[in-house]
Amino acid sequence: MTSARSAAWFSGILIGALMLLALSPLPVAGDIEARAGAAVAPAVELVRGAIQPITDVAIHAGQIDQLSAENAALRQELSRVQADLASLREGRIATEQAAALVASLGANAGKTITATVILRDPALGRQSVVLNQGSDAGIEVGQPVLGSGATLLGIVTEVNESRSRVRLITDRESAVAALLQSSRTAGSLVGDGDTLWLDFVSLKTTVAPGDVVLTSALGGLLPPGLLVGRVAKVEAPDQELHQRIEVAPLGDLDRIEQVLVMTGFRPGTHLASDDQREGATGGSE
Amino acid sequence: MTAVLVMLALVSAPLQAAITTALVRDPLAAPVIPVALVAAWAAVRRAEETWPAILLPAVVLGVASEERVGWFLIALLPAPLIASVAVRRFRPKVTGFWRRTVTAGGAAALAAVLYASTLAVVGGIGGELPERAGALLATSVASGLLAVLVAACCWPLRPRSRGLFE
Repeated sequence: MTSARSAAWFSGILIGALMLLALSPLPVAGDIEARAGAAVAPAVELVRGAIQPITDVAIHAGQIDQLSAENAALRQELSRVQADLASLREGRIATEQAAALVASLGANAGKTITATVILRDPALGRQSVVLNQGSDAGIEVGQPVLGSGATLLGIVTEVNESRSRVRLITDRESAVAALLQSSRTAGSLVGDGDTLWLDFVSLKTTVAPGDVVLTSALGGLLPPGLLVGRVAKVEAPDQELHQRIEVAPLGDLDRIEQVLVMTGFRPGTHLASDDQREGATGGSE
Repeated sequence: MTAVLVMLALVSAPLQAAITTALVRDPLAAPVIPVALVAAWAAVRRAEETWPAILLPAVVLGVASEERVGWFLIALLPAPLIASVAVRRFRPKVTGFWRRTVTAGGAAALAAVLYASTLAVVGGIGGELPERAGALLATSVASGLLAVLVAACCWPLRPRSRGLFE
């Protein structure tokens, strides 16, 4: 009797799962999933809020040595940056003159909002996070999401009224237009679930570890010049047409808590309207 | 008591999404909380009570993920099945506290490997599983230990034969 009931449960759940998978390509399935997600999100946030203090203690307890070393490195970096600041002030005047030109091209990327990461994708092989802000805050699909130091973390892929999902640049399905800052060579930056690879860079291009990788405006899907990562490893196999360039992301994608969403950016558009320019000069929330 | 388990399982899903991915750098090595809960409950109480307990966690994990709810259901399905088989196999012998908790740990360890392997294959990293056997071992051990702990906590809820005057 008991085993018959277990067999019934097993069969029922298996059939239900297969039916869900079969129906999942239908648009209505995505809609139902989005509604279920919206219904579940408050509970998830409640649990997350309750466990946050424990999580923080557990995370930071194991990182004291790392944080101390990081702190010392940051102090050194700060001293160097202060020295650089003096010379940069001179360059500011020239930059301001160029700013008007830049504004006409990229001012629509200026408006931003901050959001908190409330969930990481629990599925293996997926690199995405859920934010606590959605279309009510001006977030739209395709907008870039930045981390500390204005480094590109990912791109918004799904939005509802109060939540949005961001596909991180290291996700296997992520591909963004990028260029090497030193040589201005463009390529396609793709994720492999763990790190980044810059594809389609010719064997003739000189690339060295440490070179900075920025976003490219090619295709109009991202604002140009966002920091993405540094070249970690370069291989140039003889039998290939392109170099194999591994890029280490500048943002710590494993420990994202607060992010900046570029709500002023509209993928595929370059010219900003007047109010967007105001947003660029006035305003991040 | 099934309702209690269903509620616990419902809470375990956001815990799985929020804690394990924050604490463990490699998601493949993270303990699988719903699996540990189901295995522990089956070992201490009744295995048949655990079947409904995988439905809501699968939905919560599915909507929190880009992966489909159906895949999470299939990934969680071995947990009550293994627990059910283990309990049926060992129940005549498994009577004491330690034997039941160890049964919970073993069932959870095996079910966690199947959960991680299923989602890894679905997520396109199935080919990496042989070289990431260490991570699979970690999820197995962590889930097993967690199940032992949960089973110990659930011990007061075990069904007891009633006496003549109870």
